[in-house]
Order: sequence, then structure tokens, then C-alpha cells
Amino acid sequence: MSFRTRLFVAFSIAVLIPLGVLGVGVRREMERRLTAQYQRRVTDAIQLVREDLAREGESIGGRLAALGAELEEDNRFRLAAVRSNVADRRYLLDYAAGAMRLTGLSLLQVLDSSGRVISSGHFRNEYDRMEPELPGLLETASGSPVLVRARTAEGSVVALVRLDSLRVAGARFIVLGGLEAEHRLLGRLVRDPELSADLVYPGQISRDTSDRKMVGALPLLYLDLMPGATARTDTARLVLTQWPGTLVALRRSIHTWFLAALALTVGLGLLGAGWLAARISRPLLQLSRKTAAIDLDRLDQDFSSERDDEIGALSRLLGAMVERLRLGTARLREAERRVAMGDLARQVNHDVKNGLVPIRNVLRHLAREADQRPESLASVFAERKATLDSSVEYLETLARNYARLSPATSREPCDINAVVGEVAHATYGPGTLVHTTLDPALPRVLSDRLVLRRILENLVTNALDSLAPGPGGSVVVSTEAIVRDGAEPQVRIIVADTGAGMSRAELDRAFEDFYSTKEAGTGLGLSIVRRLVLDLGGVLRVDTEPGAGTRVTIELPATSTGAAAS
Amino acid sequence: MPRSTNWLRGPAVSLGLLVVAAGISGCGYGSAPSTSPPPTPAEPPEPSACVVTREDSATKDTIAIALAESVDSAHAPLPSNDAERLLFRQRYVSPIRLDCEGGVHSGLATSWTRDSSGRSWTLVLRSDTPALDGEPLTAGRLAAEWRSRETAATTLQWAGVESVLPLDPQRLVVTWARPQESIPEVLADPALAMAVRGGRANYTFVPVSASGGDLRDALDRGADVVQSGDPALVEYAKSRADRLIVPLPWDKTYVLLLPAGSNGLDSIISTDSAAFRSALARDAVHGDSRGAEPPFWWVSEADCARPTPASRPAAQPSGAVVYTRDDRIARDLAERIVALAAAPGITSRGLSAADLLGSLQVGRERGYVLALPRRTAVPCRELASWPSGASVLPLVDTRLTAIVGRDLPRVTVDWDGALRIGDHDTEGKQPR
Repeated sequence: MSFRTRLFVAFSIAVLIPLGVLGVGVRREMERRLTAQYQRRVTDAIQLVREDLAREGESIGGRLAALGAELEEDNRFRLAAVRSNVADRRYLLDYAAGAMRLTGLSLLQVLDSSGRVISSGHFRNEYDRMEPELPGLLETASGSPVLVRARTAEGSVVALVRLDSLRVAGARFIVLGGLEAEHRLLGRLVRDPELSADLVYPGQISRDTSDRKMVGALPLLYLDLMPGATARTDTARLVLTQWPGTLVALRRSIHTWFLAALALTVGLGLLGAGWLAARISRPLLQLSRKTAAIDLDRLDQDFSSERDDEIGALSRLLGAMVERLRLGTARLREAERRVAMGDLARQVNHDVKNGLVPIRNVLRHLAREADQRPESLASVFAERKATLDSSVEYLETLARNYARLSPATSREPCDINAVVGEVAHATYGPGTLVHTTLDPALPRVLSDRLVLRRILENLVTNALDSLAPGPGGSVVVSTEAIVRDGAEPQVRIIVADTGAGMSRAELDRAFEDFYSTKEAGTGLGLSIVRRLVLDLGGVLRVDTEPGAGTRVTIELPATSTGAAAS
Repeated sequence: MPRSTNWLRGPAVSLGLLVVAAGISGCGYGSAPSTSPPPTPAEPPEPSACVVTREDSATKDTIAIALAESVDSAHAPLPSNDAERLLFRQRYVSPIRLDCEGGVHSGLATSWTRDSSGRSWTLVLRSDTPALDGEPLTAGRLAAEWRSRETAATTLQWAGVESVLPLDPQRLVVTWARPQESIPEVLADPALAMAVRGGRANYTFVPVSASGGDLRDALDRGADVVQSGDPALVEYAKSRADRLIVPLPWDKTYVLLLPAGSNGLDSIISTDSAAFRSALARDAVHGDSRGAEPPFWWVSEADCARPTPASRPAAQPSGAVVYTRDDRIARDLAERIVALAAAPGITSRGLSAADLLGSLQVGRERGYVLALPRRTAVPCRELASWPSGASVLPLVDTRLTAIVGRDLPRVTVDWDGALRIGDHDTEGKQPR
């Protein structure tokens, strides 16, 4: 598990678990309080319904009492009901309808003491029908509201009624009046829109209330006046049901918002954790990449940092280390140079001596002949002239070779592509095994043109020499510009061949002076190339493998004086 | 008063006043308004007198008629309610006219003769009365009108008329399938009436609303003719000294029609008696009514040929006792029947006239409370809408009361109880 992942997981756990616990706690507390508040509201509403029901009963009773008082004073009623005056019978029959309208009742009947309907407001033409249970019910109800299902011309009506009695001329009459219960009254009793009241009585076609929850029931005395009713008196219930939809919707809403908040928190937490982890680990990754790029030929990594934390300190430590490496490398190179110069001086001394020894011997021989046999001097000179020529040639060759080790004398913006072209054409001519792939936008390099030519000549010569005799091999010289973020532009030169390649051991010694794997090699080519490249501030890298060819990469700092001509 | 030919502009009029500009100069039988009797209800027309007012010298030239029901000119000349009957009677003239005693008076025809077989009757038409478009009303035009008008053609068919042939512009020969002893009453049927110009009066309809449809408002606003069965209105009209209160002839009989197979109302049928009907009339009905009294015309017309008996779908009568929604008396009767039928599930229900007719033809409901004309010249036409096999229980007879101004010109009562206003019967009663 990476450091970044560990940071991410740790931060997520540290943030999300407390947040989750807090959310669950808040949600449970809200739900508990909401349910309790809802229950109190339902209880209050039930109590209110109970009180309203009693109030409605009192209101109906008051109206019936007023009607009774009026009837006791009504002479036409007295004549028709008590004295059976036929002329006033129609007045009697129509009385209840008018009284019902005036009193705002939806059911009104006037019956005599035997239970015979003598006037009916809700069903005018049911007069003379017998309801013998009603006089007895008057005693049973004793002033309480009664639920009555009564007959109408169009069907039936269920009403909350009160019964009252009155005496006219010594005769007892029963007044039954009430309000239609199933719609208007129930709607008025239940003011809470989430509560619903339903009357449950025998023979009722009950409606589907499976989606509701019963929260209370008030018993009522029930009287069925419909023809064919099996049980005339029974018990009905005013059932209060609650539609739990609102509470469910409220809970669902809380859940939804809770989940949304949780999801948002998780998302933000994860994003924050990722951001923080990345913020902490990114500088370490950058340091890691820079450190990985360090080698003795590449000590130009910038480890400077403005941070004042541990990462900044680490970066600065690495920068100091690189600086020390850079100084050490320089000293090492200087020491190497001095050693090389000493070796070279000894070698030159040795070589010159070696070249001068035959000459000195020939000159001693000639001197001795001139002294002893002057006449044979010409023939001896002719005889030893070859030795002199060979020695001189040797020395010339030696001089020429050492001349190649001389440093560049001047620097100017050079077109590497042009130099590559000269080397490829002048040395070997078109159609040879050397191919070029040149970057037309290649920037110029500040160098001595001769130095560049020496570098390329050595590399191309080595590459050609490494090719096996016969067709099939190739040498490719390519150039390209390198632009890195925050770094100076550079020029890359690659000389790649398909030759024999080198082993690791051969590669380790390849840059030593006078080391050569070729019979006629001087062993100075790659050594010179390396020094020239380093002198130009560049980097040289060799990738090789036995049998797979060699790839020499040189990267030189570019100058800002413009691109090379294509 | 402008003369108008579009006195029924709209299809329906809920309540209004018909203003009648009567050409009454030199005519009339009544006394002067100054000699009006005290405001007491008049007795029903005596059998020998179908004349409500005989005012001859009235100066009044505009007569307003209050209408308590909707009027649809598309129904003309065959009315569908009392208001249409009153209104159409003032404009449409049938070949002959029957008064409330059954006396025959001239209408479109001034005279008539029968042939020796008694089957063909030749009507001699008026020559001085043009049709509504001003063209002469000839025998050919009348015959063509009867052929083209469905109600007239159907009525003639139900009455047993075989042919209608114009002999010349003035004479029309009507031939029945059976010999007719006297002038057939079908010729007084409104279905055969024609709208004529001039004649008794020119009419212009001026809608005047009465608040809540209360005819007392119309009476207070000067309506000259009001007819109603509402006892409250009659009671109220007694306070008006300038109005005559005239009970009209019994013109309707309410019956309970039970389609074949109807059940649940057996107790009603078993209680059918004169006392039962009288009790209904006395207690159940709001209006001037009496127990239905025979003769009943449908009893002797049971074998009318049904136009399409086989095409009617068979129905199992069930459900309610239905009535025409706007008919208060029918509603009272239906409710009383329901109250008396002490069986569960029997209720009453009001239907529109069209719905009731459609239901009646298939006998879909348990029972129908219908208002039938007390008299009809074409019984089979009435029976045509009944379901086959139905039984009929007569309930009550009803009548309207006319409240008319004492200063009106001659007002008479026709055989079907309709008022005829401003009618100058110069021919008088004619022999049958």
C-alpha cells in the first residue's frame, strides 16, 4: 500500500466515521421527536373530535327543543295531529320538511307515541310508517346522540340524531332530528386534514382503509330504520383513522436529506482526503523522480525549495548532496585529467623515444660510417633511409594522433545538422551505410565546428568499424531538439549501429585512453569523444549489448541564437 | 305593436311573458273591467260553457302570458309540456277545434262532409287565412305539410287514416280505414295544426324573467295569463282583484306503469282502490288533484300495432321507480309509492324527459310514474312508447288553474285543457 493510499484511508476514516455517527444520531433524535409530536397531535385531535361530537349533539338537541316548543304552540299541528283534522293533514305532512330546512337539519321526523311517522322532512311521503322502536329508544339514548340510518326516497341517509319528546294536548310525540353524518358532519368533526373519520355500522359497505391507521374509535348507539333491517338497534363506531402518508413522507424526506448529506459528506471527505494525500505525497514523488535522474554525468537537478516543512528540508539536503557530488565529480575529473596528462606525457615521452631510437641509431650508424668509411656513406644512407622514413612516419602519425587530443580553441553557434551532413558525405560519400535523421528545427550548439566534427567522425568511424563485413548493417545518425519543463533546451545526437555491440566489461573500458578492440585502433577515439563532450557541457550515454549494436547518445546544451537551417 | 313572424326565436325559454297584441276590436263577450266581480276564485267552467272570459269591449291590446316551463320551438306544434301547449295553441290552428265539452268548432276547416261509407271526409278550408309565410293555405299545401312532418304523418297513421287527397285548393279528402260516425277527433290534434298568419292575433314574444322561476313574480309584473298547479300561487292570486282564478279541466292522469316482470311493488298493486287513489291525491300530491277516475283511454286500446316490437331489447326490470325530473307531482307519487313498498332496495329517481322515454321503451326500471293526457285523440300514439306487456295503475288526475286578467278578450278552454286567447268563434259550435 503506497504512502498516498495510506494517507487517503486514514483521513477518510478519521473524517467519515465521526460524521456518520453524528448524522445517525441527529436523524434518530429528529425521528423520535417528530413521532412524539405527531402522536400528541393525533391525541389532541381525537379529543377534539370527541368534544365536537358532544357539541353537535347538544346543538341538535337545542334545535329539537326549540322545535318542540314551537309545536306545542302550533294550533294547526294540534288540530291535525291531535284532533286528526283532515283539512290540516297536508300541513302536518309538510311541517317537517319546512322545519328541517329552517333548522338546518338534514333529518327530521315527528312520530306519535306509538311510533307512527306523522311528518317526515327528509322523506316527505313516508308518513304513516310505523317505527315502534323509537319510543323505547328515547329512554335508552337518554340525551346522547344516536346514529340512525333512515330511509329516503332515493336511498338512505345516515345521520347523527337526537331524540326528544313533547306533549301536545296530553298526547306524547317524539321528535327525531339530526345531521347527515357521512359527509358534512364527519368533515366538520375532523379538522385535521390527516385524520379521517368513518362510521362503521352494521350493513355498511365499508370502504377500503387499508392505507390508513386506526387511531381511535368512539362508540355510538345505532338504529337502523331501513326496511328489512335484521337488527334495529346495535352499536356503531366513529372510527378515526390517520393517513400515515404525511409522517411517512416526513420520515422519507428526513432519510432522503440525511442520505444526501451523507453522500455529499462522503464525497467531499474523499475528495479532501485525496487532495490532502496528493498534496503531501506529490513533493515526495517529485523528489523521487529528481533523485532517480542523478548520475555523475547528470548533476544538474534543481532541488531548491521554498517550503519550510520537512519536505523542503529534505529537498534542500538533496540539493546540497548533489552540489557536493558535482564538486566531487569536478575534482575527480580534474584528477583524472591530471593523471591522464601524466600518462599522456609518459606515453608521449615513451612514444617519442621509441620513434627517436631508430633515428638515433641510424644517425649513429651514418656518423660511424662517415668517420670510418666515408665512401660507403651513400649506400648506407640508402640502406637505412627506409628506417628513417618509417620512424618519421611513425612520429608524424603519433603527432597526428596526439593532435587529436588537443582542446577546442574557439566556440561559436554551430549547426549540428550541417556537421552531421559533412561527416556523412565527405567521409563516406552518398550511398554509404550511414543514414541520417535530422530535426529541421534543431537549435544551434555553442561549440567549435572542428570539435563537433571530431566527435562525429570518431563515433561514425567506430560504428562503421563495428559492422560485420558484407551487406546488412547500418549506421544511423539522428538529431532532435529536447525541451524539458523548466530546463534549458538541449540537442540530442544519436549514433546507432547494428554492429557487434559491446559487453559490459568492454563498455567499462571503452572510454579509457588507448583501449581499443580493433587491431589498428589507437584506443583514443571514445576517450577523446568523451572529453570533448564534457568540455562542451554535454552528456554522453552508451547503450550497447553484444550482437545487438551500439547506441551512443549525446546531449548538448543548445544556444539561443536560433535554429539550424534545415 | 309590431307584427312579428319570429315569435319563437330561441329553442328554449325558461320563463317569460308572452305578449299578445290582440286584434280584438269589435269582438268579445265579457263585461267591462269596471264591473269586475270581487276577487274570489271562479268555479270551474260549467259543462255548457268553456268560455272563461267574454270580454268584448276590452281596450287592452297587449296580453302577457307567463311561462313557467321551458319552451322549445322545435317541438311545435306538438307540445311537450304545459307551457308549450299554451303557447303553441295561440299560433297553430288545427283543422277543427274541440272545446272542453267536446263541442266541435271550425278551425282550418270551416265545414266538413262525409261520404256514404263514412270513411272519407271532405274538409272545406278557410279561404281568408294565409299560412305563416303569407302564401294561401291550400288543401294541397296542408296535405304536403302533413306528409313531410313526421309527427303529423305518424299521428294520421296511428289514427287509421289511409289517405289524404286534395280535391282542389279548398277541399281536402281524408279517408280512414274504418267508417267514422262523427268528425274524427284526430283532426283537432295539435300534431295536425298549422301556423297561420293573422287570424285571432299577432304575437311577439318578450322574455321576462321571474326570479327563481316563481310565477308570483310574473303575476306581480303584470302577466295577464298564468297557469299553474301550485296551490301557493293560487292562494296568492286570490289577493289580486283584477284576476280571475279558473280551475281548468282535469287534463292529466298520473299512472304507475310497471313493465312486465317488475317486482317489489305488489303491495301497491294490491292496495289499488278508489280510496287509495283519493288518499294519494289528498296527502301525497302537491297540487290540484283527485283520485284517478275512469274511463281510461288506454284500457280499450290494448291492441295497437307496435311499430317495432321485436327490435326492442329484452330487459329485466329492476332498480328504481322513476319519474320526469321536473315534474313535482310525479315525484310526490313516486316517493309515496316507494314509501309504501316496504321492501328494501326500492328507491325513486328523477330522469330527464329524454332519458325517461328511452328507459320506458325498454322497460328497464322497476316502475314509471307517467303523466298521461286525460284525453287523447290518438291513443295508440301514446301507447307506442310503452314497453309491451306493461301493466298500468292509475293514480291521480290533476288539473291546472288559470289566473287570467278580467279585462282580457275572449278566453276559451279546449278539449285538452289548453287556453285559447282572443279566439273569435264566429262560426260557433258545429254539428259533428
